Amino acid sequence: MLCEKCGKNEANVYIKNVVNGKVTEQHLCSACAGESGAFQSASPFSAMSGLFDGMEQAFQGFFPGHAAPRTLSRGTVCPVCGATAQDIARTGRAGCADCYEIFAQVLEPVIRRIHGGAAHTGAIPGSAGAELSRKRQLERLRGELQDAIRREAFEEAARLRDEIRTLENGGEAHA
Amino acid sequence: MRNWFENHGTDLDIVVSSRVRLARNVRGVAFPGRMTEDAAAKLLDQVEAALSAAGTLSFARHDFHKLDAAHRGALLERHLVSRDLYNGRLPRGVFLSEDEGAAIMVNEEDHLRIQVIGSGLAIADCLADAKRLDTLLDESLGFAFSERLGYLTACPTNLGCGLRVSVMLHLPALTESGGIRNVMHAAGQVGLTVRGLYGEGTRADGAFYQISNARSLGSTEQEIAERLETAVKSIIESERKLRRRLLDENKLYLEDRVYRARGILQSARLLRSEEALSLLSDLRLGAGVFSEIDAGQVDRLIRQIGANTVSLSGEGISTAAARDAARAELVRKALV
Repeated sequence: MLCEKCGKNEANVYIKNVVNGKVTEQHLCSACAGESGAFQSASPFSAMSGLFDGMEQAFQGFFPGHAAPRTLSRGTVCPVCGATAQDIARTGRAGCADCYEIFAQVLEPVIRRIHGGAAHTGAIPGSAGAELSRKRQLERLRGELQDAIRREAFEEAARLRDEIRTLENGGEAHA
Repeated sequence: MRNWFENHGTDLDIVVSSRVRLARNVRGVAFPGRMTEDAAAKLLDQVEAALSAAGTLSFARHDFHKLDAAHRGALLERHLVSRDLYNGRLPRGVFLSEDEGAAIMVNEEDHLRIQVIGSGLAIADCLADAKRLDTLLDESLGFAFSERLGYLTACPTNLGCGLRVSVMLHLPALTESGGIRNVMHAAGQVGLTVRGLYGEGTRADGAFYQISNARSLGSTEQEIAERLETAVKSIIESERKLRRRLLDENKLYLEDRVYRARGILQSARLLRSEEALSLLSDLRLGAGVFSEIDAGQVDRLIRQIGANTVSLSGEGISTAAARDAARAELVRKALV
């Protein structure tokens, strides 16, 4: 039997999903099974991946940091400055502000070694004040979106997705 | 209201100057270590625009990539720029306020290093001015910041407030008594760093030292400033106590040392920079003890005796011998 997804390889994985009483069955090759995330049961998408592939595509871009913890592969390159984990380890310097998030796995142990577990208590720049509240609002909306998807409240999810999109593009969310 | 950057502090007999430095980076732009030349040149223009928009402030822009070695060296000798800026590869520079009390380095290790310098012990005033500049520049540039890590900097050491407070101290009595070793040890225990300001490695030519905070994540700006000020005040007390003891027990020795130095400085026709620094240090030892010794005047001279600064003080001063003669002349004229 060939894989139902790619139609090329021999299917050697059988996946049976039960979601709210609905049963779906898939016969996949190991490569496609890995890609679909079917085995990551912690992910809110995994159980639903076979049900609405299109929806998953539409939503996954909105919370890369939430669907699964960001893991650092050897080839990770910072999209802002082009730095790699090797560059940071070699120079002992971040390439840009975004590197602190992208390469947290590399930088966090360094930061802990220098500063202990300390967190910032000093001044907050005026410009980041607005940015920070936007960030907190985005975090809240993304949490609600995940929750809505889990409840299969897709109309609500679509509304939340639009709000997130507006806010990410620099606009004001109406919620 | 007090003018911008005219920060005259206290304890001038021992404290040469106070300095506050804020490390800042612009959101969404690669740090200088990974920055393109175009982005670096653009940032210089943006800083200039932001500063001139503020109206009341007057800053002179010095583009390091266009400046000759002597002018770059002169700014380095006067501690207005760092060695990293001096040696950099990118379009980079410094914006200097008219009285040179504020120096904003652009495209050093971080996009901006906002520095405010005052004479004597003047940490709080310098910090207030630095924060005003910080706010002004943030409004137009938008600084990179994280809630937990504070201001985001190229080197993780500078995370947090991005603040380094440093005080330049003249400690000849502590140096000669050997007490300086205890000072360095005690400073290290409370997260402060002491290093010699002139001279190589651990040698502190002229007994000038710089004490500064090592970290700024986890404390507020005020806490950092107060911690350093407390340490500096206790060092000042130790140095004063030793100088008083020297005066009580061996006034003649102290007088001889101070006035012998003044005699040479007033008469010499050739002065190498190390010799000039050492003699000016001896002269400065008399500040606060003998009323006619003016610490401020000595400090101004110290800023003028660097090789590059002397070369630029007149025409045709290009050889070491010509510099020694010009140096001797400018010191002699100031002290007659």
